[in-house]
Amino acid sequence: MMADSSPWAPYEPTSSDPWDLRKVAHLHRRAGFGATLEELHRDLNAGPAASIEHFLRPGPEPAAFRQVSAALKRNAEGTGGDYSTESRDIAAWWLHRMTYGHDPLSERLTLFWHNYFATGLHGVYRRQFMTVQNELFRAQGRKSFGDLLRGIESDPAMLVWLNGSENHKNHPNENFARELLELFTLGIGHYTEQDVREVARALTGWRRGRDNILNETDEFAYDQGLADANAKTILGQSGSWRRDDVIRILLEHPAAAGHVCRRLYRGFVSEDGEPSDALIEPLATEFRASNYDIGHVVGIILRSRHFFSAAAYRRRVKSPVEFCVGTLRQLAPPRTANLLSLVAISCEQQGQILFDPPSVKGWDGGIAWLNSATTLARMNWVVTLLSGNEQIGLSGFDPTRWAADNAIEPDKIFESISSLLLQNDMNPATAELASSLAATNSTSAIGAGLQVLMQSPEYTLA
Amino acid sequence: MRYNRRDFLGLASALVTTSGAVPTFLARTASAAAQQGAKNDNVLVVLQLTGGNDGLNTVVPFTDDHYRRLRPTLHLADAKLHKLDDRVGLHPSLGGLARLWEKEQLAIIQGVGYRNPNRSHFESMAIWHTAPDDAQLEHGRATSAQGGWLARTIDQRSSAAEQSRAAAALRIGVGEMPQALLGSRVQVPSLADLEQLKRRTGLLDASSVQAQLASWQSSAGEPANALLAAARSSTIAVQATAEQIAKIGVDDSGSRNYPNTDLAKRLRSIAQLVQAGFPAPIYFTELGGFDTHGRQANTHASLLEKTGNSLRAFLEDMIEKVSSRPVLVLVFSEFGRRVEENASLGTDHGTAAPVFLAGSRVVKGVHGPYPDLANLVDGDPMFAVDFRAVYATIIENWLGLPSEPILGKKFDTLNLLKSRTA
Repeated sequence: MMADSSPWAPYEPTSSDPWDLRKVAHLHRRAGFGATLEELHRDLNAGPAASIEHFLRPGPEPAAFRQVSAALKRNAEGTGGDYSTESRDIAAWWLHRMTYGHDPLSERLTLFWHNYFATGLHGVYRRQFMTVQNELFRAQGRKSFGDLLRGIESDPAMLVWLNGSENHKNHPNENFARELLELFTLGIGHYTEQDVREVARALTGWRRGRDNILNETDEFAYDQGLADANAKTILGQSGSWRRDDVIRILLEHPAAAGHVCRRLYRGFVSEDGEPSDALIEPLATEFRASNYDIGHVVGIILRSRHFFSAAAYRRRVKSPVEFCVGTLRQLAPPRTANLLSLVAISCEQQGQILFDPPSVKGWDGGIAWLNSATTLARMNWVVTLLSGNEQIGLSGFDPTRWAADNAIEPDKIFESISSLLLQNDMNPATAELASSLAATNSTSAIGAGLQVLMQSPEYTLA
Repeated sequence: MRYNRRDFLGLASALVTTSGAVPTFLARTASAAAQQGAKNDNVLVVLQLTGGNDGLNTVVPFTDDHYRRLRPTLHLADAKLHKLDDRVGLHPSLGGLARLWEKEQLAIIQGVGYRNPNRSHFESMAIWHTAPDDAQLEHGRATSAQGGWLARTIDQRSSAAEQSRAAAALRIGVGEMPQALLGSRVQVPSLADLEQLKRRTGLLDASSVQAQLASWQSSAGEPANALLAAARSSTIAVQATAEQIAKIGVDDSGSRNYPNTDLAKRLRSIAQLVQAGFPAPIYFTELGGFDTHGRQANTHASLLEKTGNSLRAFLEDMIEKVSSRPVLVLVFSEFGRRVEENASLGTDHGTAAPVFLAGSRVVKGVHGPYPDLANLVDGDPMFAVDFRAVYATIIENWLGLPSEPILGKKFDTLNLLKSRTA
């Protein structure tokens, strides 16, 4: 347990630091993708402990959703030809899970690990490999980090992406070994070039199957004949190490837990500067002590005083996926057929192609999301959602319908949505402009007011 | 009253919006204004080959036995190379660059790198982008706090007010902003293409759009949340750049001989902007896919073909249409690749590699010593030319700025660029 003085001690509401709408919305933006009005009020009444439990223990997936999601996935995997780099359909499948699924934290963690073990369809060329990896993140993403690493080491998409299946004893291919050390476990400065070469040797043996006319198949095999059985020295430990030894040695290294916790901090707490060692070390200690239990550390973060403090509040930039999915969850427009494909396309314009990050480093996040082109794409997407797009059969946002769904009086619509979206975290001049535009309370007036709110710099922050 | 160049541009662009005047008028005034000051009108385009371009199979040492021995399957046959001299030749797919060579528009600097080479993509890229000082390079990495070398160049060249009036640099591309351009006083805009910078006003009328911009600016000084400050500055900057480009009115006619590739499209956008009078002196764009760990031969050939043909078309276009603004293209990659090929018919991360300069005022030639493949360090040749000396040469001899304040020390400039009077 965390000492009371620790920033990671659980948050307890007090009269000066109450459990209010801002904290509820903050929790939903970070542990999930943003809340509906109903969820906000449910959790405002439930208090922090029960609200966080909703995320940590969501219960089994409803059967109907499971069937729809499975059908969407099958369909998406089958579209396009072999070796296509077109990822929109599988992205739409995943966006459907994020937007309408019952377990937002798992999707959130799946997105986190997608960025952590960033693998791109433009190097993998097999949508099925990408969805298999995505399911690995979903299944393992809140359990044991060691198991997740073992899973990723033998994951088809990763074996192709970083050439693991071409790493053979005669001429090792260092690509996966290097990123395993640099990005996935220890970080620069904790290993040598010699370690990279030795780890590559220890990971030799995977190969991709060939059919009888020597075309590549989708099978991968571990071939003892291609594995280097000789002695290696990795991070000072010598032995005839193989795959499992590498993972063990890496997880024994003192830098590993902190490396992962720093990324979790950036993913869930703040992107504003680097966290101090004093903040990370208690998390790293818990991570090691729990045998690298991801869910344990994520639970500590989400319950903590630090998480609900000013140091975390609005201290992340929404990724394009968070921006779009969050807006859809909050405004809950009708579920038209191509809405999520449209979101996938807009996310691309905003700089985030799901299943195809720019490199193994993933997306940098933070202010890197906001260059001029991507900022403009965000602003234009807001226009599309609010005004609609006839060409693709998307009607504009209907505030009257939203009010009816949420039992809101007609003269309170703008005010209610404003509070739902921004909890009044808004520069007064922009807030005033938005209210004055919405004043006549017509559909287009409310839309104009919402456009000003949703195009504001404040709304890009999570 | 004397107008400076940017006042001219402001005036001229107002004329363009009302009369549809031809952009050449802009170029002429701009050029005339520039001759009065120390700043010149030269254009620098930086092309980054992302992933680590295989320098040895780009500028091929075809007489070197070590090359053939260490690259049993990947070495390139002499006969197909575009030979530059009796020792090196360009990859067979680099016909575009070979044409530039014939026209004396290509300089190759061999063995460009730095001490204590870092074989991580991200670390080595950060080193190339930030050009750290000797002390940092001693540790083989750049500090993340330091701004990029182009950002420092921009700040040296123009005041914050000048940068606010007109973009000092522009990145054409998608994805994250290159670190080289981060950290200047005013955020450098980035766009995927010219079309993208059209803002849809949606439910807002023109006066509401202006009121919206004013409301963001009303609190621009508020520093409490650094991310909010950055989001504000980006939101305001995009508005300014969109208006600037909308006013300029880019000429979309005449596709020239650009190949149908994304790189060519991006370079063409740069050419269109410069032709239309967009004043930025520095442009940055990238071509990815050079991390050829496996089955590299075809991939690499295709990438080089795109690079060479796109560059050739771009330079022909620029030299023909905007003679008033001479252009120099710098082509670099974060590192070369290991001399010895791996088991996957590819190559792993290496170190020093050739850098290209292309344009009408380069000193044609193969500069720098030939790579010494007999004396490898950890499987790679030693670097011969400090990449910062190449930067210093560009900063001083092309952009006309002192390089020492930007690079933290004095480098001897290299004989790569003809003087302006030549």
